Amino acid sequence: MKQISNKELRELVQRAEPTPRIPRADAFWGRFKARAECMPRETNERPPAYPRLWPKLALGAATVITLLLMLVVLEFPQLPVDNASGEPLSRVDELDVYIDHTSVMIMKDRRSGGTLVWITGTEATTDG
Amino acid sequence: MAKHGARSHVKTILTTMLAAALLWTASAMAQDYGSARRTVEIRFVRADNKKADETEEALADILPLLRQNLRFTRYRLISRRTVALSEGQRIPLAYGYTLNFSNVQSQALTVHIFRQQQMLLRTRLRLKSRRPVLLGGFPHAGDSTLIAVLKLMED
Repeated sequence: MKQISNKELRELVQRAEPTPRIPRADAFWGRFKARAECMPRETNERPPAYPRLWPKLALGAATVITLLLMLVVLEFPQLPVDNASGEPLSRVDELDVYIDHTSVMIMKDRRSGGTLVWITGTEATTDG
Repeated sequence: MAKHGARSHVKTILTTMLAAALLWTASAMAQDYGSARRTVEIRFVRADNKKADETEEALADILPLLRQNLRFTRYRLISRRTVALSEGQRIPLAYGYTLNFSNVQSQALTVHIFRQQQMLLRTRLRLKSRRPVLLGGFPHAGDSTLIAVLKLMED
């Protein structure tokens, strides 16, 4: 078997396959960009978050409405059904009279916005 | 992904419920605190059928109520006091009449009216702001009648 030197080997290889010319980088990137602009792009951007925002907004609105209702119930335990102006009158829950009397009247005057407890027929008088 | 979303919603709902509970408690506490600042204006009025002179400015707010429901021609202010809506108030009116507060709960209270040492009346009232309650019909000298007027005042 004939042995060949390194120099001969290099010459043989060059003859068989000439060294390819390295393309210029700017030409490569120019072609790449031109091709990339024609391709549909895949982006990593998320779709807008509006659809996910609605449940939170709905919950917030429900909370606000609930709190307002709570405040109304706490502040006005009786519904204002007995007053022309829409506001409840003061109320008499219990009444005991410890002196002789004929009758007792409890009146609610919606127009004037007052409550009146009137005892009639009492005999005791005071001097003034 | 869906599991994560559901967990997130549960978390939001729980947070909302907790916030609502805290606000409810704060509101209730604020209401109790507010009761300490409530006052009751107490006026003692003498009514008779003598000729009406000048209109009492101090009774202007309750004159429609008096005139609408009672048949007196004249109403005169005898005394006027403003006291805190609190337990154990003892308010001297006039002519030996005294008014006591007890069992005060928020805007509800029990009122006793005494003449000298004699209890005349006991009533449980639920007062509304600026809505007066008149307790009257106590006969007095000269065919006049005495009326106690209670009015809750709030800021």
